[in-house]
Amino acid sequence: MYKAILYKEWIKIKWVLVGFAAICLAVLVYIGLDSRHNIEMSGAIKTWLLIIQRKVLYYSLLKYIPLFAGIALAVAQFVPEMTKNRFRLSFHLPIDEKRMLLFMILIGLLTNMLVYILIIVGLMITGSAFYPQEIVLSSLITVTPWLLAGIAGYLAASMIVIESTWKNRIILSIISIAYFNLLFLENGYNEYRFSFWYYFIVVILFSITILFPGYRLRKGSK
Amino acid sequence: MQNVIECINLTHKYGKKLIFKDLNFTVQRGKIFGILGKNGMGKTTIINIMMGFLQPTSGRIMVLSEESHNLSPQTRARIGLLHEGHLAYDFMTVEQVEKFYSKFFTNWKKEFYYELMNKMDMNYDHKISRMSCGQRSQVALGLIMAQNPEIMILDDYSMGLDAGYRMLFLDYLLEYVHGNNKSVFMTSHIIQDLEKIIDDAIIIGYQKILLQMPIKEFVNSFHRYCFITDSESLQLEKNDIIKNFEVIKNKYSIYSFHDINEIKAYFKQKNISYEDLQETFMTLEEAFIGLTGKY
Repeated sequence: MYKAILYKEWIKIKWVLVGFAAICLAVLVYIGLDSRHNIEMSGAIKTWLLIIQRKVLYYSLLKYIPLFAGIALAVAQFVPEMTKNRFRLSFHLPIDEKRMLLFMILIGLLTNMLVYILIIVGLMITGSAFYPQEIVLSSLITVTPWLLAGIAGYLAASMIVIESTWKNRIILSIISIAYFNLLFLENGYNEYRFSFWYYFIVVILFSITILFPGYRLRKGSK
Repeated sequence: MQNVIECINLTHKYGKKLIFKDLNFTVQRGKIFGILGKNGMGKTTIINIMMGFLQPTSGRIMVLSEESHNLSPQTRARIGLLHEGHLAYDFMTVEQVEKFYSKFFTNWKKEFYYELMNKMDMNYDHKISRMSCGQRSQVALGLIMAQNPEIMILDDYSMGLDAGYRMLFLDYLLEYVHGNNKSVFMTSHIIQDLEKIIDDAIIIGYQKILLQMPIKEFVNSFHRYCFITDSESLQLEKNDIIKNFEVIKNKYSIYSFHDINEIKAYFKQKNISYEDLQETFMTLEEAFIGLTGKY
């Protein structure tokens, strides 16, 4: 049964995944070419100065991609279910509704992870080609809040789409936007390395909260 | 005979608006049961409560001996549900949707589904979102038949279908139901098609059940009498004898379960003068409108 749900979700999200994988690859190739261009044209010392002293993030183009990917995946997964109240088809399947909903979310999260793996591996390959190990490592630490924003974006967008009342949708949107802002406040590298886990706990709360609109949707209560 | 569905004192309100009050009915195993009513009378609300998508204000529905708002996955597997508007996973193709559903049901009979698809000359890679309403209805019916459920619940199967597709749908449904001893609970607002297939029915009107009896009994026992009167001040009222009436100038039509002699006796008792009182033939649809009113 879970294999069948995976099959259904895959039909809905495969092109979104392919699209964002293509965007990530294109951006990573651009980052590599741009790094090469800067080092060739400005020299290693100026590049070093920009990255270490002025804290210019050579991979900042990646910043909002995980968030947009998360939102797009949530929309691709749940808008077709909500259109014409199609979730009733899924809720009539002979499977526990909560488990089914959590499994759908898990599929979405794992798909987000595929995008993140691409970003992380891409950053390691591009970074290692031009920069020392410390800078590559710091790039991975610096992008973690962006990736976390992607997960939060996915969970929040899923919740907002599944939510059956506009009042709750608006409240959830405001809370989510405020939270995303907190994850994009950096002015340089490694800035979230101490506070990251607090933000992570909030994301876990997002993932549990999603059961409530799902339950209300199932039972038809507002 | 065992009841597969029991509706007990069901009342539902949307906010302060009462939809229906104290509905009671039962559906027996192996029977085709219909809920008939005009649009907006609460037919889909009953099905939503029956399938646990809505909590009733009070009362309850038992489906296969389980509370409707707490149906277990095992019981849901025994119920084939056709949603209003032939709801389907539009993003799937004919083949994908069969492959998807087949994993959930142990008694899955794909031949029922593909027989219907082949009859329609449907390509297996045809996406459901690109189908006409009629084609989508056949996909939805084929999936329910392949599920091989004990009860089929069909919410306004006729919605958006032309006469040809309605007949095709019913022909397949009847053959399947009678050949496999299934119970069916169906709602519809187009009732002329149902005359020959429904064993028992209720007709719901504004907030209540207007009638519960086999449809053939209804057709045979419900009468329309027409007469002319010169009395300008004739004020008819609905009661146990006159269920409904219509007036066009001095021509009256009354609807009643009573025979013509009882009507004459009633007129005499009420001092109603009339001319040319006669019963006129009604189709099921006319009888339905006669009972429920035109608007």
